Amino acid sequence: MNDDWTELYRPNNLSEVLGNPKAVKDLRDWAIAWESGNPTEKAVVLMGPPGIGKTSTALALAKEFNWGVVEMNASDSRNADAIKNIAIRGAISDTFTDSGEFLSAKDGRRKLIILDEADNIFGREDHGGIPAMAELIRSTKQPVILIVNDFYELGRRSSIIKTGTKQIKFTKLQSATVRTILKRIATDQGVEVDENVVYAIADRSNGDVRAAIRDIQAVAQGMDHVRMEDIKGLGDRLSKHSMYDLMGEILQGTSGANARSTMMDADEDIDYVMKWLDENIPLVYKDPEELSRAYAHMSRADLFLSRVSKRQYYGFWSYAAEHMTYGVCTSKSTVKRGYVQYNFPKMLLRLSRSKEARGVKASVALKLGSECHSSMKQVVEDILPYFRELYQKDKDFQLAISAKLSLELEEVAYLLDGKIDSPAVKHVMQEIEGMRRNPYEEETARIDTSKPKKGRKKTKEEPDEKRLEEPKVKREVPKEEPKEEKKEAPKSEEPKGTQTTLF
Amino acid sequence: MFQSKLRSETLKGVVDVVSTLIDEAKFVIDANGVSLKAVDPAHVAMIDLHLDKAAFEQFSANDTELGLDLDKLRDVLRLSKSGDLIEMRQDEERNRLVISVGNITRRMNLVSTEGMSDPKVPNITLPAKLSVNIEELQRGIKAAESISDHISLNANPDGFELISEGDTDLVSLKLPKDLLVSLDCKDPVRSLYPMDYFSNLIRAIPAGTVLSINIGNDLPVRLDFEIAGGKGKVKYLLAPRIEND
Repeated sequence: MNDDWTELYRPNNLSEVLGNPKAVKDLRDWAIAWESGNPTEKAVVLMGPPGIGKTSTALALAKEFNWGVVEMNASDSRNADAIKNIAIRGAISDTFTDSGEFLSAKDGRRKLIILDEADNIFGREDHGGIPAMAELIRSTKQPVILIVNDFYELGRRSSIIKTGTKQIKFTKLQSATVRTILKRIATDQGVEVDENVVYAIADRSNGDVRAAIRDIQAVAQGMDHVRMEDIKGLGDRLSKHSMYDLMGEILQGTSGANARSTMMDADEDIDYVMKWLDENIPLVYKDPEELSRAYAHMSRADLFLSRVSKRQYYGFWSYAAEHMTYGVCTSKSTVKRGYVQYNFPKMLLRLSRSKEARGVKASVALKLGSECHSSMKQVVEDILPYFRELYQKDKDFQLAISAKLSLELEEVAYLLDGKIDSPAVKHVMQEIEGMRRNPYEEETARIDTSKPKKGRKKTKEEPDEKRLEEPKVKREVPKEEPKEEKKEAPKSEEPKGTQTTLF
Repeated sequence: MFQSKLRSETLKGVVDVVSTLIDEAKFVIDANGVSLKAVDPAHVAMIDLHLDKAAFEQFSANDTELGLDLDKLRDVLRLSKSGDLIEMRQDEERNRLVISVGNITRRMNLVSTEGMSDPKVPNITLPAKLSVNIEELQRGIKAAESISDHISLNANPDGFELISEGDTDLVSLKLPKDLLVSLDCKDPVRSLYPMDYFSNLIRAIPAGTVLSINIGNDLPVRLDFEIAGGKGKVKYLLAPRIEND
């Protein structure tokens, strides 16, 4: 039997799903449209914070309608091939269920394709996952559900995911709803759970049912009666201080000792606290002298932190922590009252939003760098801004260099400042494909000859050709064969003029 | 408990037939032999395989289950050549399978079978039944593969036809009654299937096999054939492709 209560107590149909009634209704309507075969949107996106029942609702939908389920979540590889082989192949055919039942779409017996944590498709191992997902949405003949926490991020990466789907929002559950769920589980398990325990667990879950169920399983499994004192184990965590408490204690509190002990309890990574402080000190400390004192302590703390990593001596953590708590706390000269809305560090937000873009930028820089005999850093600083401008303006150059550098979809999109499935980007990719197939036109040569600017010399054409191959192999570009033909083409064609001088 | 010896080519036949659909498989073993039922990850095709104990050179077992990674089995097969004896033994204590080929012994950890499904073969009435030499089909598939991503199987009282129609091209393989081993069909039937699946299945079937095909109208196709010299039976089921309405 299933030992995980979060699995065991998943709802069996949509009526059993508690909370989010509007979302559940929308989802049911969508499924009914699928049953009769003509939904307006073939895919829906369920979005909302973790642990509030998005996946459970999707699975409940499949159970209610007696549909098959093909689920891909973050523990599966979700690169282009995996999505094509499983989701897309599954999406265009009828279905055998896990129990061996045959489901015919004609009878409204569908196969629900669930891509869980669809906003977590990135990185090397999920290469090409987003375009494959777009392709899935376009070509599917079966219902598709994407489940995300951060829809903004996903929509930014592909426009069809925004325009070709119906978006359904899930919100945090109310404490009362969480209590209902907890009580049902307790009853089912035959455990008597005191009312105040239910309240305590529901409150601390902050609308995250999954967390609440985990907690109740932790305290109630194998028990007959759970009382308040039994949840001491959780008790420590119950009194756990959030980052907001910590900020308040440091920036608005008057006791350095309290600030220090809050930090001990907060169980937050010290670098992370540092970023929070950095973001929030100026919100509270307005007086320049206070600010200067506070940041003096921050910089000392920063020094200690860098020594921690340099010398791998973690004892310095405590010095850094003293500066960040006692130091920053006692830097103020007046008491800070009033409610302050502390902010999440913007730096982290920006970094996470630009994660993909930075990766793509780096790979463009790498390819360009090996052509220009420059480091990636140098390319990014000196060449890329001009290169990008040139790339956007000069169509011939664009195609030639894309083919030469074997630029990939994401990279072209980055250079053109477009989305990976925008028409402009697709057009370029098609052209490059065409050029790879038709060996005769080799504009690449031109760029080759005009390269040695900036005093960097190139000895010969051929070794360079080789070097070009290197990053390609690493990036797993399948197209390799037509490279051969390129070699003779260059000499036969004269540079057409304009772009020769530019680069 | 499971202990057996079998010829390399027998094992290879099994691995070929299974691995075209799945990467990991749950083999259910009892005193009569080994069987396997599985649905592929995209839930489009199904396999039902039974290998009788007579297919083994030596076989002793009582009820057990083996979760195996088929790629690993393939690695073992590479160590052997046709005719070699492969010895397999389940190490229950350590949850491993010990395989010996000649002087080489390989121990492999078993894959957990907990999450693997136990499908039953669905009972679908398929009105048309025919059998054909696999070579005939393999040739036709080769010609049709590049044309389109789907293929239609058509049967009527006069014969059997495979049609693959793309945007610009069409390939048809017509097998009139006299080229078939048998044909039992009263009314014409037609179903459409995904090309990649169908061709993978057809390719996985060993040469020299007489394949029995059951089809209907927009229903799954069932392919039955024998492996290991008649001592093993395989059933493939492939769900039809959804046609645009």
